[in-house]
Amino acid sequence: MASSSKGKTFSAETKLVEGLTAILDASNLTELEFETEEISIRLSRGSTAVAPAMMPAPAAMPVAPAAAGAPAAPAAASDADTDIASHPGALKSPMVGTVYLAPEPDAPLFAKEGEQVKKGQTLFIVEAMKVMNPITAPADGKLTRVLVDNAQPIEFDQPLAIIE
Amino acid sequence: MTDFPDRLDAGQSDKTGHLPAGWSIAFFDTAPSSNDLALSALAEQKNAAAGQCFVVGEQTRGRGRLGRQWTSNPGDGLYMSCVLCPDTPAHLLPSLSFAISLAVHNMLAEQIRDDRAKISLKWPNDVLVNGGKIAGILLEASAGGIVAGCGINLKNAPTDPSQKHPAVSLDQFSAQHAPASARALAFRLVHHLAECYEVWEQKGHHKIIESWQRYCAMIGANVHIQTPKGLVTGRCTGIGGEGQLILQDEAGQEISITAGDVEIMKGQA
Repeated sequence: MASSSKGKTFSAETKLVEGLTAILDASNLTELEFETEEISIRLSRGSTAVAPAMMPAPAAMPVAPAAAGAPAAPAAASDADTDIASHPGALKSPMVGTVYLAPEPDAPLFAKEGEQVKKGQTLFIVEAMKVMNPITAPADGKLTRVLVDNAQPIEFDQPLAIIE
Repeated sequence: MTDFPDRLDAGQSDKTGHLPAGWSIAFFDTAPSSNDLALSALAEQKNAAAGQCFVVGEQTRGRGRLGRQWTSNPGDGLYMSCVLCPDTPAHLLPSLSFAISLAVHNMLAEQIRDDRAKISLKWPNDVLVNGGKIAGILLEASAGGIVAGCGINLKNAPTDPSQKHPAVSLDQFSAQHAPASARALAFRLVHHLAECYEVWEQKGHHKIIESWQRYCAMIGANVHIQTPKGLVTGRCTGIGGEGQLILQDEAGQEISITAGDVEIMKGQA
């Protein structure tokens, strides 16, 4: 769904960088920055190559709106996201779906941030195609962070919580 | 009531039918829900529970999606759950929804001989007859397996005017002949489940989704979907590779849905 438009976006960005480079070359400037809501590019003269700084997924990419039940995958994960994903206590979703923090809409949460949890205890349910998948604690520990909201669409392998 | 006092194992038969290899049925008069019985069997027996089916005459706490109550009066429906232990990655489990609903569809198609009755499927696993909901399915995964529960209305379809697709029951489409008993239908359903499950497991979920789409009432139709985050509307363009519903909104943007209540707009089911 998004791949073809990613190609188009990359091509447009390449042309943009080429155009900005031409402006920089034709001027006495040592540095040039270009920024919109979708992209930020900084060019500078010196020993390093031109380095476009990409922002997360452009708004124009045809990914599902947040309300639609499928999340937009960021084009480049932030350092914070990478840190969380590689955290040894990260509990990740085994599938694409919608995550629930309680068994029913008005029921108490399976577990709250800061609580001790037991191995095998259900912490979330991920629903996909009316299949309910309990996500359980892999080991005893403390639920230090819950990284998702109730009824939030989630991606495969997305971190849901940190257990330490 | 002692209508359902016994158990039949694979290969055994009684006057209502026989079972395919690897499958069994246990009949109970009453239980909180057939899914609870199947989940208990899975928890206790692990892989050894695979293929066990549980039929309940009356569910005291029948449930649907998000804990919604499923009306389950004695004799009004077939309430059956089966234990499956597929050796497959977790991300493919949701596609089992299509195998189970296709099996229910095929069983009902065998029973309904009224030419005016159109049997169809609604994403992800509802079975409709003439646009009314005749069967609902809920799958619950657990350690080592998954339980598939089916509720099929046989008579006295519950009336709830708030439902977008009002309930219908099998007896409404059986004018020309006496409808089969719940017990006989359970046997037939196990046969269709075994067949669809084998295709899903051996030939892959794509094959099942391909067959499922042939009976889908939604392709090309305008739909409203109440997702956990709000209402989404659009035209259904198909089913994604892992079973997600694909819509195109008014702006032409493609939307992928994994959870929600679907309403097919009037006249299109």
